[in-house]
Amino acid sequence: MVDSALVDALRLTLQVAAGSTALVALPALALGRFLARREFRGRSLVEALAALPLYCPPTAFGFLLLRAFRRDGPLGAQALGFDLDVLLTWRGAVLASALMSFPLVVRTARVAFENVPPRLEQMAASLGASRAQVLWRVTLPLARNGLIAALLIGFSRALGEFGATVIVAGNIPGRTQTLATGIFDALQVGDDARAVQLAGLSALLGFVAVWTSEWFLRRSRSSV
Amino acid sequence: MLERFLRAAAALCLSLCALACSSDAPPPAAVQVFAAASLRDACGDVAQLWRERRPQVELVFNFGSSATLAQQIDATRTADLFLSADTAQMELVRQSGAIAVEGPARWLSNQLVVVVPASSNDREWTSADELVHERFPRLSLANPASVPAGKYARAWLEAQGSWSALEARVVPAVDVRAALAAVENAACELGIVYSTDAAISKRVRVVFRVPLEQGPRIEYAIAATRGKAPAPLSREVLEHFLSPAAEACFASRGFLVRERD
Amino acid sequence: MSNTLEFQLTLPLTGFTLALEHATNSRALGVVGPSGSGKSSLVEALAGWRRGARGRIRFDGATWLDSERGVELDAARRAVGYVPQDQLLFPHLDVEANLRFGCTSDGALVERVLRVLEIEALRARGVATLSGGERQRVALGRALCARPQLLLLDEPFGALDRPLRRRILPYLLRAQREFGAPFVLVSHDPTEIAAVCDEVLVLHEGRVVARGAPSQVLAPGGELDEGFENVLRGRVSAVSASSASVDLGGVALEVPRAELAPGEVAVVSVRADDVLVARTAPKGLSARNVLAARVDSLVRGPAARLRVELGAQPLWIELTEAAIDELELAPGAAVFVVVKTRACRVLASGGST
Repeated sequence: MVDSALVDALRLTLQVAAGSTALVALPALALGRFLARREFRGRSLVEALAALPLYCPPTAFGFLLLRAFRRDGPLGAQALGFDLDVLLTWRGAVLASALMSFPLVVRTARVAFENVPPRLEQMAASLGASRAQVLWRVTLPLARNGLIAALLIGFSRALGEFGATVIVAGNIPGRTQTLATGIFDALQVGDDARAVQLAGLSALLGFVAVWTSEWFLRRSRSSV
Repeated sequence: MLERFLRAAAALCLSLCALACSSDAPPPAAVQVFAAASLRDACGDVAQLWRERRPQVELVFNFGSSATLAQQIDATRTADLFLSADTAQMELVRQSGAIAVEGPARWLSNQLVVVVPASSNDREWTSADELVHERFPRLSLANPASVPAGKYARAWLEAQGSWSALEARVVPAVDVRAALAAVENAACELGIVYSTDAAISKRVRVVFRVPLEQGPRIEYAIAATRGKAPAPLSREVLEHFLSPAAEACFASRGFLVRERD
Repeated sequence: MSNTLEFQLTLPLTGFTLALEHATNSRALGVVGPSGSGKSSLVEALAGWRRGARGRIRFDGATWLDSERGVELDAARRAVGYVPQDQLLFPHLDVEANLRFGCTSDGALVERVLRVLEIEALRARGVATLSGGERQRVALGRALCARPQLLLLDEPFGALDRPLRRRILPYLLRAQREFGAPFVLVSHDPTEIAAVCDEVLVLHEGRVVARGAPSQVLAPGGELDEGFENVLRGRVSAVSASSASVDLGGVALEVPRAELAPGEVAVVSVRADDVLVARTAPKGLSARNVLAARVDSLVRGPAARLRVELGAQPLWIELTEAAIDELELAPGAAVFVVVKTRACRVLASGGST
């Protein structure tokens, strides 16, 4: 009943979502922190740019990545001298998902950092903590639950990513076919049974991820 | 209590992911075969034969419309074998310099058929004139601008003189299997696909077979392309696809095996 | 260590600009004034928490702010211990971790602070479970553990009711004695200031309207409607079962025993409206304190009051204008001042002034 294609799709989906979350973690959390604290000219521009993947069709980003990484593109084998081997591989899927989930992680992280009272950080500095120590001993512990929620939200988004992924990574069973692209494939060949299985599994995964993230969000609101 | 459960779940997920990540590298020997969507089931049979003979080398299939596949080959160099539903796409691949070993001319052929959903009342037609009847507001074709199956269908309709009447009714699909699925789901009342596609589906009925003399020349092409696998291995897989045993698989699915020149 | 604090500051606030200057050597500088007069802003500027302050701040030879030369040290570099009104305890750390935050190496200091402020039993408690008074002591302790050279306390007992404040005051005095750092104390309670500080700045709308010793500067009337308390200091000369005798510089005041021991310095408060005045020494009264004093000055009107010299210390007495007239009170007059033993409250004791 449980065929290897299903297991492959599940494994790839988790792999891609995990890889995507790992890739965006540092830059998105850092940007979230930056946006939470600094007021500067051009801040809304940065915020709008970072939010683009939320509003632009994923296929547009898929197209952008395709143009960038194709053989004759700026990041392709001809230009670089070696092959990054991104297109039609799971690495491409990770990149596509990372791009699409980036703004969600940034936003949630920003809120988590905003919820840390700046006066507490000032107090820590006043007591002699360096900037790095303030971050490590006060900001991060207090923002921790919100940041975990941010990563989980990114993970959830990556679980379901389709539009950019299918363009960049294709739909190769066992190599790049995730639950999402697998559903599309199943529909194309009229295999409704498989489509239902994949859809059910992806709904379950998505639900668990989002529910866990909500739990962390609730905890983050009550701790400070 | 709940917190401990969630922590355990999180740890489990993370280790699952780490495990998954560690199995990233494909097995040492894998050959990527980019094949037209209509060849899907037949390729499954051929792959089974291969597995019995050479289990250490995995055949990884990427199915899609030949047009999309040709573009993917041009953009990356990940295909080791290309099975195209027409020679035009193979020509594109040749021009991009990706072909390593040419296959024979006129490798496989196919036949166009007109299908309706199984729930329809139509039975066998005597002539193709029924196509333009108003009871068929939507015609499912693989994208006639680029996909071989769609281009073949359009060529035939143009030869019949009915293209101008039908052009506005066309619902383009991304490949021929998607065109088939549209008729299976009765999203379209009519579709033109390969006879090999109609054969695998229980949810459509063939109402007209385009006689081979009337239809366009359908010529599939096959070649080994420059990809990640070592050339001798790709060549070996190419020869497997051309072997009598493989041809028997294609034939049993309804493909027409042409004689070699 | 010279303890010299000098500052000249201008800082725009809503509605007015804070503009003041002062130089002081005292161990404890008090800052009083009505709410909104700029007291907290002054302290924040001294702590380095307020950008936008212009002028100069120098402490103990180090320049913390010099706008002309473009010098502005941030809070971390100022060796200041700041205890703000909202304490800002770290909610994710327990009491001991809060105390240790600014002081990672000196375990002995942390233990001493825990002991002096009597918060040892709280060391593993989470911050959210502490009562108001406990939070205040922990916040003070945390500042002390960071070994500040100057302590800035902004209404440290702000949220507490009067009886609780009176109970915590001794901790502040003890901290002052044991840990040596000079402080600046902002309070709206003149009694606290009088008990703890040797110099006071009175602020109004961002300007200093009076400065000097508490006994000179603080007086009944004005916006203080809680009932002015006189703060008197003296050495305990004798004790009995229920009372103690405090020498106010030639005049002995009987106060409740509390925990006073002979030889200790006691800080005592007497409400200005709890004192009676007589022209002749009354007899047969229950009050134990019938003390000779001389009228120093008087104020007429609806908030009529009298200032007398009691020993070496001033004492304010609130009374009616009619009484002033009837007793023919005038500066220089010799009077007797009557105070019940139980109207005297011992605020703190121990150590030397």
